[in-house]
Amino acid sequence: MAHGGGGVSVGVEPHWLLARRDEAERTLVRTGIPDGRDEAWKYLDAQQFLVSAHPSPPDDVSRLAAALSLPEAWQVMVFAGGVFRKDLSRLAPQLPGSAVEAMSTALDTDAPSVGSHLGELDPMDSAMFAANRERWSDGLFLEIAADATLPGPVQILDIGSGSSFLRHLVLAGPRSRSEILEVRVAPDGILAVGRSVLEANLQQGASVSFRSLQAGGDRLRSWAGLVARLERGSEFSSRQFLVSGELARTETVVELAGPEARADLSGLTAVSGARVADILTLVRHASGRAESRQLFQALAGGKSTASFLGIVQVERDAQKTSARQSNRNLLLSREASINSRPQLEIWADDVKCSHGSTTGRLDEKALFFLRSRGFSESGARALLVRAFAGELVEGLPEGSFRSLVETLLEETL
Amino acid sequence: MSGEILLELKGLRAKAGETEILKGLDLTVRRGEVHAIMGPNGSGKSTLSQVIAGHPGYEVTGGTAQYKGKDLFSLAPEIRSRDGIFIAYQYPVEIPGVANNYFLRTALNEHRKHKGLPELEGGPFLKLLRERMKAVHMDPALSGRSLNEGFSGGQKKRNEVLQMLLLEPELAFLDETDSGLDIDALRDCADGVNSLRSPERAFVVVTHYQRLLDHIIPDFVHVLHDGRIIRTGSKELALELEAKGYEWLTAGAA
Repeated sequence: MAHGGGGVSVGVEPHWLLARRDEAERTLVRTGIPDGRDEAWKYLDAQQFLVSAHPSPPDDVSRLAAALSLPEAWQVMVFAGGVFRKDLSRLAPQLPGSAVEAMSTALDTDAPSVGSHLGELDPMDSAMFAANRERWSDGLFLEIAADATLPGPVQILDIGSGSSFLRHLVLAGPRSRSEILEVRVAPDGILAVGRSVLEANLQQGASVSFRSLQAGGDRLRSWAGLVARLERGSEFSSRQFLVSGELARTETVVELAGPEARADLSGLTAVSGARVADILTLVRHASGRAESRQLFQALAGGKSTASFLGIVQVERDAQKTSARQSNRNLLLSREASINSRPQLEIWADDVKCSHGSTTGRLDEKALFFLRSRGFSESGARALLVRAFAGELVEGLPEGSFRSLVETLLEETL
Repeated sequence: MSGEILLELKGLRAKAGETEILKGLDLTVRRGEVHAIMGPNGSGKSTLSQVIAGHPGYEVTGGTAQYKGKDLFSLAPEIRSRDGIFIAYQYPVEIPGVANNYFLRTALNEHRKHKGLPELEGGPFLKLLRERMKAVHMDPALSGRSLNEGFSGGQKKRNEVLQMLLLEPELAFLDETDSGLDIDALRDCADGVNSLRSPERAFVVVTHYQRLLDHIIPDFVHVLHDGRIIRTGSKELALELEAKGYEWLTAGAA
């Protein structure tokens, strides 16, 4: 099953797919790899996501697959180094009209769906998305029939091994409901580079909830693109936890394409040591009367860096838009750094848009107060940090995903 | 009174920033005693409480402090607390996101661990908490709220006294606990203190006004002025101060 991380075996791919890979390659040549002159790559070097790495030991992969297949998931799709591992996955019988399968399978069984949607939501000039589009090897294909509700969350377990590109495609039919859990991980001490894209297409009234966690791997470099298009009345929520790994970058691009659509984006970054975590969001209100909410929080200790660039665009016709964005940060050491850049580009005049950004340190008064009531210094710090991070953790349903988040937060801080 | 000495301050000097505030303060507190420290604003009353608590914003520049025979200043704030020192603060801090009951239970269990007692969890803790809250007439709903967040002045002070009732300190400093309180809250706080009075414990009541001392009867009243205790008397001294003000004492002292 060893796989270098290039494309799938090119010989068996349909022509339309090869053509798309060619198009992506041309885009990449045209854009080049972004550098520090690019606003979006000011605090992180894109080249660091484009290095090659050796595959992780198979025993580590199996161990992580067993440890991180979440009990609350209805199905678990395991990918290691960009390759679907049916042997490590936990699958359920297919539902009528819906599909939960690997992209490599879907290319045979659901070719028309894949062909008509693959890559359609990618931001045009993004080198990283183009690189993924050119070289992806596998991923999750999730198609949910109209009015269907998945019996439970579908988990993507993305185990870093070498250098990989995954592409997941979610087609949420009208009024369907689905939940996706993503866990990205790699064995400790081994460089692994993962670049994944999840594309979600939400038809009228569909609801997709996405929760993602980078769950370990101190040498894992993970770039994760998340693109979603929301038709009328659909709801998309994502919550991303970047609480481990060497480098983490998420780019979330959401288009509100119909009225009464609602996007709820949130994330918690907790970095220490020399780690770097970088969050970019681009929320485009193309339709009026849609809503977006963003809450991103970061904790940075050691010599780490946590950055947030949040762009909200409201197009000229998107009247009655409601957009809120909040970025709250906590610096836990003198040498850590936080960069927070909210950007609002509003072309409509009848809108409610707000953004707020705060960066501070742990409240010394609170810290002393707790100690003077008998808390150890570390206990007091941990309590205050938990209080800061609490809002995004407490909103999670009880379960092993939440426990994992809590454990990792404790370890990181 | 002839209880064992709990706290002995000799020639205590302390600075807040560049300003020297305590300038040679002497005070001996024995078990079983209640001391009142009165003084005008700026005399160093709050600084004294903060120095006893170990607040890092105050620097001790001279003198000694013995607590139960140990050098107080060698002890971290949490050790002072676990070893029986409690400060009821004038301005209790608000901590959003930390539930009051969680805070109270953790603090109590840190103290219990220190004393070699098993931790109190769940039911037994809640039972104790309910009893103590009742004793200070505190709304039970406040136990689940974030610590002091959105509490009224009276609720915050009741919460301080509640912490004292749970932690059962040996030496409690009440730093202007009466400030900003209506008469009901004042009485509840005083009742809380009185319920803890015992031959083992001592209290130092720091106040600007005499009225709290109608409810907590002190054995000694000290007048603090310009960082030193300039007069010590019985509870009648407090009444005299109330009637005459501080000036008759401080005019010649500075």
